[in-house]
Amino acid sequence: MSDPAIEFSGVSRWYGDTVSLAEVSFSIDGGVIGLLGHNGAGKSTTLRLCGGFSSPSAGRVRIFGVDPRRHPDVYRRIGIVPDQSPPWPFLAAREVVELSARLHRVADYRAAAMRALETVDLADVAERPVGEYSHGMRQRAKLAQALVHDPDLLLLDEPLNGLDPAQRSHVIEILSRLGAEGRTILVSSHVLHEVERMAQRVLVLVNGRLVADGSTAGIRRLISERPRRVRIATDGGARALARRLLAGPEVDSVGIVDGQIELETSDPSALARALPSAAREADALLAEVQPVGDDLESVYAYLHARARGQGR
Amino acid sequence: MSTDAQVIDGDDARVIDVAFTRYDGPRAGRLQALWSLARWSSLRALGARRSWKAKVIPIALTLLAFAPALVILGARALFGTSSVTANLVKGLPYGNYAATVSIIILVYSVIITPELLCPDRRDRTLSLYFSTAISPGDYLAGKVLAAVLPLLLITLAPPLTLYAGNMVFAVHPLGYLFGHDRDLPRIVGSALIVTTFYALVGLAISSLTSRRAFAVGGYLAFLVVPTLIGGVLSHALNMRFLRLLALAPAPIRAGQGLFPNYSDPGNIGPWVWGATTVEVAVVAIVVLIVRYRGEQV
Amino acid sequence: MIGPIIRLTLRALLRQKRAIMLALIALAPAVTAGVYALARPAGANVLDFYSGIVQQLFVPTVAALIALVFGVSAFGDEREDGTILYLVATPQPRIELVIAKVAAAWVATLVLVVPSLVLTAAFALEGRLTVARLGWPLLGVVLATLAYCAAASWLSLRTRRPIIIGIIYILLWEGSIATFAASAAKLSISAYGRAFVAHALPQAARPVTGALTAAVVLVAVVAIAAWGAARALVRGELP
Repeated sequence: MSDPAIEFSGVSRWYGDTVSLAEVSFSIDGGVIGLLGHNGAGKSTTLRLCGGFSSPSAGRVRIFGVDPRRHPDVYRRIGIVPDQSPPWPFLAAREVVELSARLHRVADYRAAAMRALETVDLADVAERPVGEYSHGMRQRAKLAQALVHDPDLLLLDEPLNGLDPAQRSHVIEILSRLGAEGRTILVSSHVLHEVERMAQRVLVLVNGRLVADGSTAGIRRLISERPRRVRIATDGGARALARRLLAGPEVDSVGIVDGQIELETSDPSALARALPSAAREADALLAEVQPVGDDLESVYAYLHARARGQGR
Repeated sequence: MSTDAQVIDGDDARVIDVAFTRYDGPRAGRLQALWSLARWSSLRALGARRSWKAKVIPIALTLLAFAPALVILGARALFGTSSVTANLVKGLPYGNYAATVSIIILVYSVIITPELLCPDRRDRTLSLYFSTAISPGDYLAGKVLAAVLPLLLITLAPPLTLYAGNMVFAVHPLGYLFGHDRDLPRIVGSALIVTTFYALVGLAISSLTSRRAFAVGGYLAFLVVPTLIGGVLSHALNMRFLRLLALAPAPIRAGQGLFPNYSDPGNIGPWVWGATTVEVAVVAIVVLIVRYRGEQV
Repeated sequence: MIGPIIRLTLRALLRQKRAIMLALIALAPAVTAGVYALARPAGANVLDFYSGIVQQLFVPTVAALIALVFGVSAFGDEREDGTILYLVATPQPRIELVIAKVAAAWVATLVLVVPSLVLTAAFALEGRLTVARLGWPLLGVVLATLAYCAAASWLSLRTRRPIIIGIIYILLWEGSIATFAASAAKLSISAYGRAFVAHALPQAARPVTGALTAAVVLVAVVAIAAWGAARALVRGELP
């Protein structure tokens, strides 16, 4: 069995009195994984540890089974898009990407560079110095230098920053395709709805601790103490249905918003069983029953608030 | 602005509004702003609010600047009045103190002055300063003061310490004070000449770049290289006026001219050194004014 | 892969205003020698002058400062703006990265310093210029600048204030303490560089050691500094 792309075992990192990461353990191998967290949660520290730019104060980091600091050969399989500006701004983008290819020991570095630049739509402006690029073009140049050697693992720190909506869609498409091919893509981003589009799995950090790991739906299911919110659209009889539901034990609270029922329940299964009979008794025709707040943004906000002690 | 918390009290609850409100209190004025800028700039350059690594070099250099005074006073404390201590005291007259620690003064100013101007350019916080009540002129005045204050720590404090120590160890301290009363203003005067020169030159060169490394290199190139060239050429060609290329010791020689025991290896008078010092200082001031005159919010 | 890194670093080092400032510093001894050639009195001892300018100005100040700035900038510029990550996140052995950077800094230094030394010798010595009188000081400058570049590169990876520490070493230790304490001179790179000058010019100040020993010491400094820098790349915290 081959080693996972990234393995963190009890990793902590502190700088003086500041604890940046505390006992974080996870294993990643394949697919697109979103790394979420507030400012100062430890996302950049996690990426820096994965990239070998820092050592853990405690615990162990392994990339494809080795410590990248002591086995630089593993960088053949890693592509990194850091937060920093692209390198060597006085060089043309083509030169930057070709140099990156050569440094990663790509045989036909010129062809590989052209392919990478075409992938990120910079082929037409490849002869311009990177220092003259706009912010979005620099982001794409960084992505090109990370992709040029066809890495198995991509580490991306806010890769969508500065990109216009069309470019963001394009990059998301590239990353999703690479993830579907079996590569491992770890993406740190604040743009949650876009992470949701491309990531099958998320790691959520709060104050340096890993508070959730898995698919959005899976995490949601595990948050048992948080009531589920459900929106019910009816064709008439909304108020009567709301009164019936409120009387039952399955529902915690009910409200009418724009003619639709919004309720909270701690027992979705019981609600599902009780809803049809309640609708019949209230003579209400159910048009739509939809869970609300199961999106990544809501899940993240809840996890964040819970980990910081609010709402307890 | 202040953060007055507004409290809305109910019967069994209260809501505290921590929104920002305008500051309506007394305002301290431009001088206070200037002093605040100078104080915090100089503290920061000395490593305040930074790790111990940022402090160790300025502290070490300050101790080295005090070393001659401490050695002499320590010897007097240990051995009292003897020919050895008398020779030690005679060996370091107040006028020669700056020359003795001239390398320390140079290195100290090289460390301090780029820290005062370069980060503001590099981090692009100049516009933040000029969006307050501080004008470019106030900013420069504050920075000059910020450069002068730490430099006085090594140009004025050590000879004053030596003076105070000599007075304490004198057989008749009051007699020493009255007998050397003219030395005090001379010590202050020469320290101010040296400090102002190094502060202005260092700031002028630092104002030309946003990178501290360049400022350090440029400062040294401006002071050290001509000094060496002047020394080599004046010796080889026997032309003493070439020693005036020695910009680094110029203010020190000018300061020594305030003392009665002035002597110069090239027989160049203190007024000549003083004129050189003033010329270079004026050029430095012009450079600073030109660099910051065009700064806008 | 050392070649492309050397070329890239050379381009970065020599393309900025900093290079112009350093070139002016490098020319200072040549200008001094030129002034001397024009104004020297008849019967002046040109060997004394040449020996003095190489020993007091060229090796310990001009060459040392230029090598320090380039040596620090080779890694330091990229470390300061965080782009060193792009170099480190490659399968290149760390020691090869260090060798490439030090070599680039050294070549950049020699580009400025060697022509100046040749001009200085030509102006100062004129008809008394010989291969030995140019060659030995050149060898001293070449080896001393290599040692300075390696030490400066190591400093740039180990500390946040490499230029300041380098300046303190050059001005305070080498320029002041080592001049009056013979034991301190044994820890001075420029002292070993000046040992080569003394080999060709008897007028030179008494060297700290012979030329062969000086060469061995300087090469050892380079090796230790390079090893230390490679270790810092592995163990140190990168921005």
